[in-house]
Amino acid sequence: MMKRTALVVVCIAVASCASLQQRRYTAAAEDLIEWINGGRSAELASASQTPFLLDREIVILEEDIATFWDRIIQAGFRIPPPRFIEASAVTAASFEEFGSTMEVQTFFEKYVSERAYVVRIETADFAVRFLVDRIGVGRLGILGMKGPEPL
Amino acid sequence: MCCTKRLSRRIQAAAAVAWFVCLLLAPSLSYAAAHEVVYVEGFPYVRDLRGEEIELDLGDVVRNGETVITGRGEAVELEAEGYTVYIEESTVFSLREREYGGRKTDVLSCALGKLSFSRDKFLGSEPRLATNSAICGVRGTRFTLYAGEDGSSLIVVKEGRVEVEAAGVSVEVAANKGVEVAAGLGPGEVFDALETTIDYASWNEERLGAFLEDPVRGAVNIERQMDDFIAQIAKIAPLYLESKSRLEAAREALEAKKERGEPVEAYYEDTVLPLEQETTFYILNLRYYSLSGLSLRRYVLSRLYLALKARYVTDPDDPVFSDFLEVHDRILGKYDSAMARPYLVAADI
Repeated sequence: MMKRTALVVVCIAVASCASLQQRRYTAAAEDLIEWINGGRSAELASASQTPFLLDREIVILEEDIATFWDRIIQAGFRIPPPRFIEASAVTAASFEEFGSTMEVQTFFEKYVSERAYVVRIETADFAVRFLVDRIGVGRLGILGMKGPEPL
Repeated sequence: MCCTKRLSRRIQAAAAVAWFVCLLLAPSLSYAAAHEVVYVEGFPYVRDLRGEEIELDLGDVVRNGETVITGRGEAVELEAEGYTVYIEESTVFSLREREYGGRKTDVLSCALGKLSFSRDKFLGSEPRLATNSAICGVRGTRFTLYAGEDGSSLIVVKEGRVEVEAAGVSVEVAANKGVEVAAGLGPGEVFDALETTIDYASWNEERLGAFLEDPVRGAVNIERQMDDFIAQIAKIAPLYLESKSRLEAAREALEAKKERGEPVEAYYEDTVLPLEQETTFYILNLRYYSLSGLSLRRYVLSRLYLALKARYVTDPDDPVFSDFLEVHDRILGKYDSAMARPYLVAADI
């Protein structure tokens, strides 16, 4: 009986820990939306890690990522109020959300840690995914982006 | 199709083993020049064979398979026996090797940006210089190589002569002359050019502008270039397998001779060693073309994809973007099945 209670307590602790992480990454996604909608490309560039995965493309040069954020902000890309934000811990199959190529799979195996999350933001018109991880105390790292994909 | 897949899988399985054989044999095949860093501006870095990024410093040696990356305002000068290479800002430079005429030859590859090559003295080992769209043979030369964002190249010769080869066509470029090569196409007309009058930034901007004006045509040119690399691989792959199988048979025969107590030195020298060299050269060239494909993908196609994605991010259904994506998808499919999966390893990515 004692053993069963202990197991239940452990399960609850693990589950609440996971949901705490999910909440943290959901909040992080709200920061990302704020940066994008506020045209804060410098913050986006500074949080972006290289190599960076954009759809199925691996971007090596930091300058390219900074230019990309500048350009999409200038082009008027904004994220309207989301219908929902969903954060899922990275699994062995997460690479398929970005693309089933050898490069994308290797990117996940080589550069994405087990504590990273895929955050999916869905608006009325499109969905966009961010691959995010903590890169220091209280610092969010953007490892990749997929989309926007029309719904 | 089924045979091609089977062939790829057989090569994939053999490639790792052969690659190690190649590395073991490499020193005996020919001289590979050491490229030492003799000048550094800013904080450029090198991506090593494990894919790790290490800041470059004076006295460091860049090895075959490594890539030097300079950012804005940064530069690196490398010195090898008999020549120097000056890598300018915002440039991606890789040191590779492949077989030419039965010799292992260094290939100084500029995937993006600008580099100047200067031959000080002839010591018998001439490197080749390459971009994503052309390969250059040097003849006692001082020249500059420009690699544009759309995959095209510009070669401007200051002294000596350079033989420029692209899409199976060769032209010789003499001093104070230049030639431009578009990705996937042969060399253009040789024209009068003074290195001092060429501004890389303006030329590159012009190339990028031309691409953005007609991205589908630009992507088709890149596809043509990728097809060329894939065709080279398809030509070498069966030769490699045949050579490898002959080598295995020769090694078995060598072992049998040993067991019978027969002398084996002459058999090794005359039969096994040449086959080891031949097999090594095939795998070297397979790797060379696969890495050329990777370079075209990473430093040309990806960057152009980024530029177009940003341009059409609020209008992804624009027909120009859709048409570009169609070609892009095709290139990715071919690259993934014919290059990345059979020949590239995690360290390359």
